Amino acid sequence: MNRIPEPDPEITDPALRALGERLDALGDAERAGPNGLEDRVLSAVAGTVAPGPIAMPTGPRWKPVAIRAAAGFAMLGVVSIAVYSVQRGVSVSPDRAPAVMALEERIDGLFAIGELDEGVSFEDSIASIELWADALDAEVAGDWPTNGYADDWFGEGAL
Amino acid sequence: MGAPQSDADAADLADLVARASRGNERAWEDLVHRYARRVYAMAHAKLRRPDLAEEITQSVFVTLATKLKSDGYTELGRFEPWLFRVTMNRVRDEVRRTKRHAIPHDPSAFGGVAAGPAPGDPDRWRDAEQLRRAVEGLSDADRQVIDLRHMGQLGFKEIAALLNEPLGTVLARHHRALKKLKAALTPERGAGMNEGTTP
Repeated sequence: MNRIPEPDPEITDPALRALGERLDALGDAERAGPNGLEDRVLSAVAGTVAPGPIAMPTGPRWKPVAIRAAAGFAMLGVVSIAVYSVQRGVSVSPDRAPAVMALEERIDGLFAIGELDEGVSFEDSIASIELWADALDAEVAGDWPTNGYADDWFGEGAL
Repeated sequence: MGAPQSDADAADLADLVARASRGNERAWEDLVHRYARRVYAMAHAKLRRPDLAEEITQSVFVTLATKLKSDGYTELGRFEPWLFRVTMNRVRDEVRRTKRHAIPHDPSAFGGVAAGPAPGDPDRWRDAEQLRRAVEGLSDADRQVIDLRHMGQLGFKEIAALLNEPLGTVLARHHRALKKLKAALTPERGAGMNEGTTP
């Protein structure tokens, strides 16, 4: 649709007015343009104008991918450790359970002594518990495989 | 020349844009029929390439559709300045791209073919070509006002809003551009007539 804008109120010179009219005529010729322009423009915008959500990316896509990848690696790591442990037969020594129970009894005893205030020094009790803890640690350490299992996981190529 | 754009026209346009933003097909047809050729004329007057002018026209309307659909267009009441600012930016980008890639083209190869009087009317055709060349000789600032006014058919208020200039500045620039064109055309018209009579 062509519309004719208001004239320039500043132009009083007939020659300039005539020139303005020539420019308007040139504009008419430019606007005549190619046939079917409107149809092609409508076709171009049809996909955007159509009702319904537009499938447009709204932001960078790397974040979800990175998060999913990290989660995947974490799950893979947990599963791998579990499978590896089962295959290697890593287990807690049967002797370890009584040792742990004995340590727990010692700790309970320490608290009981503290409550009764029977004159046993706190430092002695702590030293005793540390001794038990060292002994327990040595037992547990004996359960680890001796073929560099830990190195396999934390060395190069682990991930 | 007709009357300035009335409040009723402005209200009608606002309603049209609002309906288009809701995906009303009829409103889109009206918008495209109202503006597509004006956008095209702006692009073609500068680029002299019908294919590029149409490509830019489609691109401008796709941008408009995307903005309206996503509520990105927030300048209600300033629709025309917004639309033609997008057009001007696209044309400017295309001019830069064309210069960068150094695509040679002869303006006369397109002039009078896709626009302008038919070659069957040589006097009018020659007049149109002379006028085009004179417009191309204007500074960017002067040409901007001429193109927006006579190709895009914008009112002076809309041009002032688009260029962020006072209305008086725009009117003065238009007046000055016409005087420059007149000065440029006067010797050329004489030369053109001489050329036409010389075998």
